[in-house]
Amino acid sequence: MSPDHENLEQELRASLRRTAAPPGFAEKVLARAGAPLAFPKPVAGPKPERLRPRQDTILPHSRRAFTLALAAGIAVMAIIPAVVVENRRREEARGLKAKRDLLTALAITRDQLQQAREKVRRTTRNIQ
Amino acid sequence: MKPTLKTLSISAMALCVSMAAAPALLAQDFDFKSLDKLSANATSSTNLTLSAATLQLAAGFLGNDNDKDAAAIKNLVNNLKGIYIRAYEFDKPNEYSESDLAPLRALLKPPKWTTILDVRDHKDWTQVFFAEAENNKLEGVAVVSTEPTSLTVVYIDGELNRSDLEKLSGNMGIPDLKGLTGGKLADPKADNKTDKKSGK
Repeated sequence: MSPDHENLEQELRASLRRTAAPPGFAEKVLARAGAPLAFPKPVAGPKPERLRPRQDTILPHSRRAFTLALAAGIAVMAIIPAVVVENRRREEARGLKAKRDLLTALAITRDQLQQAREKVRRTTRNIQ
Repeated sequence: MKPTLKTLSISAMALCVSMAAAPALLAQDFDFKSLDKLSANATSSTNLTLSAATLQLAAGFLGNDNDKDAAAIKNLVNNLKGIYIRAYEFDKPNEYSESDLAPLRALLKPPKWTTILDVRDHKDWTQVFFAEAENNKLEGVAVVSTEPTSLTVVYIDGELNRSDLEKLSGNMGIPDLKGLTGGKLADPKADNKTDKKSGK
């Protein structure tokens, strides 16, 4: 065995030799195991950009009221012409029916008067 | 019995109510309810009740004022309170009786009504009645025409000139009834007219 090998063996033996733990070592280990995990504290400062609400989506109260009024106005503007047109259509239908009924009534009246006149003529001719 | 304040006020109220209702009663001299039931057996019936408002509405749709006939009709209906027509056609005789017309004829009596025409020809009977107004105008015209298989009642309520009536018995630009109703007395398209033969 070479002298280098002997030195190495001695060093290994010295390193692997059992030695007693320093005093208080067991208490330190147990205390460390029972303690809560310690994380680094967050750094105080401004919130990240993604967590803060966007400033452009928040409308001031007056602007929100204006938007609602505008929407309501547009809705009314869209509904009113339809209602007006429907009413006009109904009124026209009613008027045309009234006209047809009136002409029918006058035609029946005229026919009755003409028939009465014809009957008088016929009766008078029979008497003569 | 001495009239108390209470009985006097009740009498006054009754008088006011009767005075207010008088024109309405006058306008509804004719009770068409006794005739309306005839439509059940009729093959064709025409039931027209045109109030003053309806007449005005109809007049507005007659055409422009340049149209001579339209102007004449507008002038005719201008002062009318109503036009009532009841016309029935039956497929066989005896579907109605004279008693159905009795309430109507009972109303067409003097002093308000004068029989202008009364023609009986076999089983046909036509009567024309005028209600004379003070100013030589008419305040009503009624025509009752009965045949074995048909019955027609025309009642025009309101003020009209005799000349207007003369024009009406002419032509006055009123289309023929055939043109108005498609050749039948009843207009199947109209709500208030029915034609049972066509099943409408």
